[in-house]
Amino acid sequence: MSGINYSSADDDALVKAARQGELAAFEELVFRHRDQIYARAFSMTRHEEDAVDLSQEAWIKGWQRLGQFQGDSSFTTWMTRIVINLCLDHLRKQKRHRTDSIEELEEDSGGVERQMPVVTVNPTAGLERAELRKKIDGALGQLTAEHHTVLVLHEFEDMDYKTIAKTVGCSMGTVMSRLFYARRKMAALLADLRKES
Amino acid sequence: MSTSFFSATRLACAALGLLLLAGVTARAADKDLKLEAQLVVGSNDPQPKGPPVSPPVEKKLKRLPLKWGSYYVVSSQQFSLAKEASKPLVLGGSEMVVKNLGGERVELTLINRGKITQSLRKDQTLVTNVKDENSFVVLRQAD
Amino acid sequence: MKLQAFLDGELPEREAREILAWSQRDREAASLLAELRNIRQALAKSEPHLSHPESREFFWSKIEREIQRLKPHPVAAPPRSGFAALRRWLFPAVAVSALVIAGVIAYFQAPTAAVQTVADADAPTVETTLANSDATTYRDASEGTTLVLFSYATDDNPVKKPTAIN
Repeated sequence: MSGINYSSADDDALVKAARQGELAAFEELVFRHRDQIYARAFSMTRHEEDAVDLSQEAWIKGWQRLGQFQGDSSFTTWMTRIVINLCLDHLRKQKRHRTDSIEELEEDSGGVERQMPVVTVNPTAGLERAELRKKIDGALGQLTAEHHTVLVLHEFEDMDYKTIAKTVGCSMGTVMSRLFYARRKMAALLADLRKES
Repeated sequence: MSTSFFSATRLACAALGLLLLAGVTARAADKDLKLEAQLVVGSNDPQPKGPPVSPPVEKKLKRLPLKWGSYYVVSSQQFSLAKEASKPLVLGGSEMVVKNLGGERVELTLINRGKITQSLRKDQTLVTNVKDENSFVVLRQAD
Repeated sequence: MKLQAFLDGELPEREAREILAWSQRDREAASLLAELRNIRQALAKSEPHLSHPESREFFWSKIEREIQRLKPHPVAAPPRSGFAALRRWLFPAVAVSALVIAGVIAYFQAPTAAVQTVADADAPTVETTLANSDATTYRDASEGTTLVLFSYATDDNPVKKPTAIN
């Protein structure tokens, strides 16, 4: 035990200590950022158990690869990239075993989003933040894996089209069409939810 | 000179034998611990809702100051733990971690509840209650 | 999708100006742009906040276990020559054997003390995590059973008063 009070150390100090083998320092990093990493895994997989397993795997990989962390980005950004890649691998494996629905095939080939009527009234106007979060979470859950993935990477991770294409392993055109569909679908879902309420 | 040599050799052999014996004993204490953790539920219902616990476990549980007339098994798992290794479990709604401390001693940590450290030889059993009603974890060395 | 690319700042400047001008002329384009903008703004401030469903200790215990499992094992040193190994055993063996003999003699001369030591080793050590929680311990020495009952806030697990345990 080194005697350092890890709970008051900043992330840089914790990373430095963890790189020297201090597991307690890494534990503090896990404690601080596990919700964020789990949330990213859940937003990508939409499955609690998978998100727990993948976030756990991400932390283990993070420990193994600490030597590669250069400090170019924040530690949480670096960890988020690890969990995103794990989630994408997981989704790819799932897709191989999945039979695509006709709707999903049409979505991928493009064209479905053009048939959706434009939602002219802002479906989120006047909603309390907590309520909005809940509705958005519900609507995200109704998108396919491919669509909510690009939406999450663009809207929550601030990735540009090129980076998303490289990360996901598809063309920029596919990124753009999936993002377009995902946004239009979200607008329609939120408008429906507003009508219901 | 040869006499002293044979005396030294006899002494050395005796010492070696004792040392080997001590070494064997130490290695036995540090061997992997094969454990069984069972989630059991106490009941006074004449129709139990699951398979009964084994007779040796039943005998131990019935001698405890608990009001249940019978116990049935909900789940059971066996696992091996090397010295200093630990295994997380979720049983009866409670998260816990079992750790082999070596020398046939274990540490059972119930998350947000407490920690029990004690010896767990083949003839010993550790029982503790968990979150679910009337439920207990029975920890012992596996047969 | 050009409207989307314009909204996301992915168009070169000249093309962006053309799309802007078009959206100002064309009502349908303007509506679609507004829809995309509304959703983008809604998402920007509304990422769902989620908490990890497992407790900190449990989650960490799984990670720690895996890290320990994946640790590289130290490579054993190659064995030295037979005679050198034997010589290495002899001198410490003589010293240790003297200690072991002394210990055995002490053990057989103090049987009560040895039994007491074994009995103490069997006694569990119990710590509670929460300041306001409680633990009760019962030991059945003849069966080798230890029962530890932790108090739970919502527990109505009835426990009869302890009877004398042999």
